[in-house]
Amino acid sequence: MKTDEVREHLPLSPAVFHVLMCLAEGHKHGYGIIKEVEAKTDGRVALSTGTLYGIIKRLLRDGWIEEHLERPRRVLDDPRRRYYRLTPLGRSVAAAEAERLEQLVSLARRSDLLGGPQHA
Amino acid sequence: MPDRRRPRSPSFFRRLLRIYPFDFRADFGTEMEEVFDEQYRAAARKGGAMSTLRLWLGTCLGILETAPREHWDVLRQDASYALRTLGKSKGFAAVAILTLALGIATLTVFFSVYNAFLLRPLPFADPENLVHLWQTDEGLGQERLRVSVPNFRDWREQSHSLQGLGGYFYSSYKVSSPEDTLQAVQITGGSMTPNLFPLLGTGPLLGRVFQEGEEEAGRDDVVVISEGLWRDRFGQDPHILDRELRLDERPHRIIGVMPASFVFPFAGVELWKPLSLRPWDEERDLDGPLLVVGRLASGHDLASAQAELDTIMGRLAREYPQSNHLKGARVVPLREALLFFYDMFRATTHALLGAAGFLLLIVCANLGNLQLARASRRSREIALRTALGANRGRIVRQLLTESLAVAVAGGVLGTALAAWGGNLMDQAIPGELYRVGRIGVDAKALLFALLVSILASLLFGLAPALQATRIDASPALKEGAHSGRDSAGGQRLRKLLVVGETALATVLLAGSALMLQTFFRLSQVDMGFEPDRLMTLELKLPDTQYPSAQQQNLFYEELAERVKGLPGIADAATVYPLPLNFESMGDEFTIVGHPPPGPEDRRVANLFWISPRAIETLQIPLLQGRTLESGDDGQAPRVALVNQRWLDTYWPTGSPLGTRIVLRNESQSAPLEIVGVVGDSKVFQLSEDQAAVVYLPQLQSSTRRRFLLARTRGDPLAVTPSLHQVIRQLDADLPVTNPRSMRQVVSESLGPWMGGTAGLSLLGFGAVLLAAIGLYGVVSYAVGSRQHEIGVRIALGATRSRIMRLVLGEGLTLGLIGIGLGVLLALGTSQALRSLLFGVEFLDPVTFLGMPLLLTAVLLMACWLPARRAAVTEPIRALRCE
Repeated sequence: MKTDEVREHLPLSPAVFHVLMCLAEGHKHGYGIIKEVEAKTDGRVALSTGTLYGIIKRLLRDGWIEEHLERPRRVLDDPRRRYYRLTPLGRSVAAAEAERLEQLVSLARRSDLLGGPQHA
Repeated sequence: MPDRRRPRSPSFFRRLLRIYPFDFRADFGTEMEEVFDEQYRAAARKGGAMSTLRLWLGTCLGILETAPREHWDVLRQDASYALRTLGKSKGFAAVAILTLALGIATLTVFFSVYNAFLLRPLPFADPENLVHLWQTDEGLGQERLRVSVPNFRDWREQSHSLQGLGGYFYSSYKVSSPEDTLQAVQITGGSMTPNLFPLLGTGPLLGRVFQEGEEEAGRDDVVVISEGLWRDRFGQDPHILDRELRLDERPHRIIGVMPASFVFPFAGVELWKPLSLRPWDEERDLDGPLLVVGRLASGHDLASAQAELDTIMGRLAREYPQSNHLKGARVVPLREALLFFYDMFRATTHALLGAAGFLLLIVCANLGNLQLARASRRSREIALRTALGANRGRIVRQLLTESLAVAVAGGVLGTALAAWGGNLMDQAIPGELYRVGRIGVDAKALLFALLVSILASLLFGLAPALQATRIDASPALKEGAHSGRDSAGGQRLRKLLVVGETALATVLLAGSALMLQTFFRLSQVDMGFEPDRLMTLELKLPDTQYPSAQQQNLFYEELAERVKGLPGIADAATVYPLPLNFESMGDEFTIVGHPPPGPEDRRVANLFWISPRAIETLQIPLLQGRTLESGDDGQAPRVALVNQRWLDTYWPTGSPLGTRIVLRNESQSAPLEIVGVVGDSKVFQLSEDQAAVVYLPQLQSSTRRRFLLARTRGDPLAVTPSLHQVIRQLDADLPVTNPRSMRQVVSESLGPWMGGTAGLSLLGFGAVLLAAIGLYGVVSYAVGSRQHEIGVRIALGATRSRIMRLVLGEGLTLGLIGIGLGVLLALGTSQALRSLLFGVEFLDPVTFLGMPLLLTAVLLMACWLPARRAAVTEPIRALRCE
């Protein structure tokens, strides 16, 4: 997919971006995603099951994520779980969003809203 | 021990998941349960009750927040699928949307009428506590009499259940203003006790309303005008206050303007002045002038106010036996008094609402049948989808969405039609009938239309959807491509629907037959006078210019003379009141030389004040003696005419000529000698029982308000300009009101029946048409799906006529069952029309035998076409089809 087409999906909602970032590190199941997002944000972002699966449904439909069929050893697993991973498309969308945010932040820095490198 | 609680929570969570659409649950339900399990365990480990509570809260909120979006997704999906499917069957979609639109529009229009006349609160403060009080007279059998001033005062002083009582009446005034170049107009104005405005609780738009004491002579020259008068006559001049307005040439000061929403006591009343009572109003035993409005005190209702008034009237009857014997009081909700013909109007509106509801049910039955037929054609598609894993609920939802799409489209179109129809209704229903706001589609009507549409979609969509999804997948898939055979259940349902709609159509047809006959009988009523080629208009002489009876009579005599001289006019006279104009005056009388009758057996007659030649102009036949002459004036002995009914009732034997009578309201004057007897004629309205009438000479009394009657040689309306001209010659700025031909007056008097008759006839016609289409559909469908069987029968030697009889017989059986049920149903529901009927027995043979026969004939025709098609079936082709 061309960059332009990827950009059409931006900006992403924070919750969607969190889910994509989470899966960028590797495949995960639903509860894993919730836990990780919570841990990474020090509990500031708590996804509810409803929100998470609404997002998962749409990400699957749009082909940004897919089911990962390899499962861990049975002791660690629950048969009800499904594991998800990013598709290349999902990865490029997430990357584009990250880039967009970075540009935004550097702009904010130039406007003296954040401590910029020149002040460091 | 959190683990012991564990099994319960997921079960509640599972139930919570049911909020999501089926597909979503199927895809993610188990997974979500697993996630919740983990979260629940973690919360319990971490912080016990508080964390668990927080988890539950967050989860519930999350589900409630996300579920609507998932449903919306499904709806969008289903809707786009439905639109695609409907796009493929445009014929069905068009017929369905159009018939539904008509059904919904009719129902919504009648709802809008109901809303404006009976539902919206009256435009006053706390209108539900406002009541109207009538005086009753058991002896005369009268329930709606005006109240005499002394009785009104006693009510006001003695009643505790009513926290305020105000009196009013209305009359018309010649209205002009000094700086005004416009023609003087006749305007109806209310005269009210100063407390009536605060009692109703509506404040003025500009200025003020009356103050206590402004009813006293010398202070009563103030007037409050309506927003309409302010707009039309004064161009909404902001400096209107303190300007002069002349009522019957008397200067009045404008002190206030009421807002447009203030309508009291009916829409034609455009100004209000303080009520100043005349000396004779103080007499308790004369007919009172007052209409009385009260406000219920807190803690009281209609019944307790009525009980209290009964007590007060009982006491007054003992105190004043002469005047108050058998007199009572009746308390009704204000709306019932403001809306003329309230009972009739309500009965008609209810009947029409019910009938329109029935019509919509018939529409739904037809659409249900169409849906069933389509569903059985689509049985393969449905079976396929079931086999591919769609569950029944999902397919039902899908099919219902399709119905809903049709219903919503029908609803939108129907509402647009209803807005247009409501507008027509608003103009067609006379403005004097008290309505709140305009008849139109407001928020409430919109909501009503929406609910009706959704309900309709369920009605015609649900049963077919359930039926269709009951199909067993394997045979449906095995069948050939031309499948389309109904299951037995589907067949039964289709027959049931046809029977049902035929029954409803029978009910509507019976209702319209009863109303049509009523209307026909009413228009055939012998009025007793000749209404053709008779022109009428109304005049009222201001008492400032024409204070004496002599001046009034001089004017009217001169007018009649000049009108008689006009080309195209055969005769002219004046009368008061005008027959069939919903106006009547009555009084008791005694016969000189006869003992006064007991209180239970009183002599009453309707009164008409007429000029010489009035009997001749009306063409009422003279039966005995003579009519009134120009010699019967103020100097001559007082005389009167009576009608045949008077004679039959009060003077059954011998000639009444020379007999003298005394009217109660003029007991001080000399008796009236009866000099003639004339034929009976209608007084108040066409449906009344013939009343006894006494005709009095206008030349011997004072009547400022009169109706001019002109008997024309040709079209009565053609003489209107020359009548106006003659009146202008006599008095340049005397306003002329209501020029109408007597035929117009008569058809206006049919008005109360008009709406019900026209409405029910249209609905009845529509219902019969729809039922016939419905039966046609079912029979042709049955013929279509039985081609094979019919082919075999013909091949085995069945004659064409035998096949026709077979098909006709089956179709007609359904029709007859429906008609039979309908007749039974009509016997029950037609009770609603009982109060509206005239000249037709409730168990009328035309209605209950003739109409079913007519309907049978129509249905026979509907079966005829498919039966013919069946009869010409080529056996070879039919068999090859299989």
